Amino acid sequence: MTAVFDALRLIVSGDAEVWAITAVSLFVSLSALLLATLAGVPLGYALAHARGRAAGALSSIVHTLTALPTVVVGLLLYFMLSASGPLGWMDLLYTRVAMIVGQTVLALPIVAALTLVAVQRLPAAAFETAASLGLGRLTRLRVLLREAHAAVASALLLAFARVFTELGAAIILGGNIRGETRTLTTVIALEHTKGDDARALALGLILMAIALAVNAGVHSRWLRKPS
Amino acid sequence: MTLVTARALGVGYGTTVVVSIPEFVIAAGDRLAITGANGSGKTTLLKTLAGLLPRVAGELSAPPPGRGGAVYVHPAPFLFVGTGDENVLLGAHGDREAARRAIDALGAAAFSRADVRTLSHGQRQRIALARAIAAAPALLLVDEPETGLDAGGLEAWSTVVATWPGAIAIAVPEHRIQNTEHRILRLAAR
Amino acid sequence: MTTRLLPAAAALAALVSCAPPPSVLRIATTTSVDNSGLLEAIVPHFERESGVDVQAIAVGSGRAFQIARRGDASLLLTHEPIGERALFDDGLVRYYRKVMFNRFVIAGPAANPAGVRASESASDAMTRIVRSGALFVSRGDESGTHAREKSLWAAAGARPRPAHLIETGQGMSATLRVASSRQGYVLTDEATLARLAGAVTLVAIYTGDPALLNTYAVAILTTARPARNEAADRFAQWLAEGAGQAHIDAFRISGRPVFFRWPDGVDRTAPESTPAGVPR
Repeated sequence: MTAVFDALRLIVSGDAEVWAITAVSLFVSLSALLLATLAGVPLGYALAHARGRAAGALSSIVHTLTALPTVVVGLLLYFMLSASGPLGWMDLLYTRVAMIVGQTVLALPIVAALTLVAVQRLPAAAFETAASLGLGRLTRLRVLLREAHAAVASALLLAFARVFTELGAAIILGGNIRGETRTLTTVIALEHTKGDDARALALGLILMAIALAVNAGVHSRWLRKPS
Repeated sequence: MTLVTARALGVGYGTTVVVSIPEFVIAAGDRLAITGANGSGKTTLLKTLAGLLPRVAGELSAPPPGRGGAVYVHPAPFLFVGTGDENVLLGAHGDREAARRAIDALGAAAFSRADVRTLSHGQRQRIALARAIAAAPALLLVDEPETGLDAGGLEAWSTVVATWPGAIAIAVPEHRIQNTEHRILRLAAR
Repeated sequence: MTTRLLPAAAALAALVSCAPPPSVLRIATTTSVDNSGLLEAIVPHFERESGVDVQAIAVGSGRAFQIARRGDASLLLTHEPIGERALFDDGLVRYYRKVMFNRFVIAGPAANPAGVRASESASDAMTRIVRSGALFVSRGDESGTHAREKSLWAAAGARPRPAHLIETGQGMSATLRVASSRQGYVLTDEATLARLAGAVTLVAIYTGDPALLNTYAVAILTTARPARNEAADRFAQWLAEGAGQAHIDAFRISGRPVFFRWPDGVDRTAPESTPAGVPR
């Protein structure tokens, strides 16, 4: 119980390192979410319209990739980004960029798969009306995604939750370097092995608080039912 | 001018023909009422004419879907998320003047700024019709327009019918087909 | 579709250009070095005068060697002579210097049931612990400390029986906390014990045997990225032979020195080298 009080004291005291770590967490995960959205939403939309066995296979693959273990993503990218690996020349290992790449890989299938489902579940009348009015391709994309906005917002929320709270990719690709690549999850793991419960708990509380705040924010803005 | 010519037209889904019409023609200015029992293929025929369904058999020449071509309106009006204005603007392809004219033609100006989720069925139908005519279709295909319209809506709609330069084809349930000045096409279910 | 591709392409270009400049130096070291707080205390001095941003990746010894071998870090700071010798055997060493040393101590409950304080040597102390059936808490995680435990048991010809041995599989701090709560003996480095002084009831009981010396060395391998070699050389020099030595000497935990600079006259170039005499 004293650990909880220590934790609260740590948060309230405005410990600079704690807030720096929080900032890194948010920067990495939000960047990954942005990239995953830019690539995943059009992908999901395209797959929803595609026909044929290749498209069906690709949809299956995307759905399966939503369950990628975070450490596996971390390891695979580690081998690729390491100095002795094929992409070693980019010198990205142990940087925030590498963590963003890892988290994008984790988030992208979630965004794509759920956008795919969201668009598929739109009523036939939506597609028919869009076709009948002769809407241009981009207008159609905008309109249909807007129709599915609740489901797409849910997808983005889920993808964010996944990457913001993951440990495997962040710690393997970032190296948990003080002042550089430490995030809330990696430091919680570190403090746990060092035996510092107060700090670990403080960071855990911040992590949960942010996750809840983001959830509540998105729900009130986009997922509210009309009165 | 002739907009639609059909010969031995079979409409349906996949390879199944729901109804077959030997021969008909629709020209600009025509008013056609398609009627028949439930399941006789009224919606299927309208959607095929609109280009939303491929024809199953026979020959059909009709305007393509979209602006200036064939536009279809669902019986339970489907409106996109947003306001009435936004929906009609979509039909007008961004032309705000055309959207304004269409809304006025259906007498919907009073509620066009509201979120469509707050509208009554009759109001939704008026918005859907305004959206359709905002696209200036040569061939306007409306599935059961009179079923859900309120008094004001019916009045506005009859003005549109009276003045529209293009062709209008509507579906009418069998029990409602009386006192119409439209040319009647009766479908018999197979 | 192209209006979606453009921002994606721009993002990718931004990503690729984000590689750190040559003035960033990555070093691989062990968690115990990092946890001692030494680097945090002395590295800023180097960073200020050189303009180099030193980033430390702190992992277990095995991983640290791997990272350096793969070239993902330009400099290695370790305290594991066997792993360091393997680097020489594989012909990977471009630069190697002993930097400092500290001591392992055998710590235990104040009551000292095994009578370890009067031991004549480290292996004697271990023998006393095993014979008295006292509890021993080991790291059991293949770390440098664990390796030292095993060598002491080998020298003593005795090992605690399973019923009297707890292997935590964790780092030094966690292991000390377990030893404290179970009132067992434990082999620990002085720095961690000093840092946890307020949180554990263990006391340092025996030290002073050369077998308990822990020597630290810095190495630069041939696999390091060429662009960073200059910064690596500079830091290694600073640490092993330059101003860093004085900073190491001045480092304190709870007022006690925990690291000792490498004594003059003792060979710095071989992993097996250790200082003979020990300051008390």
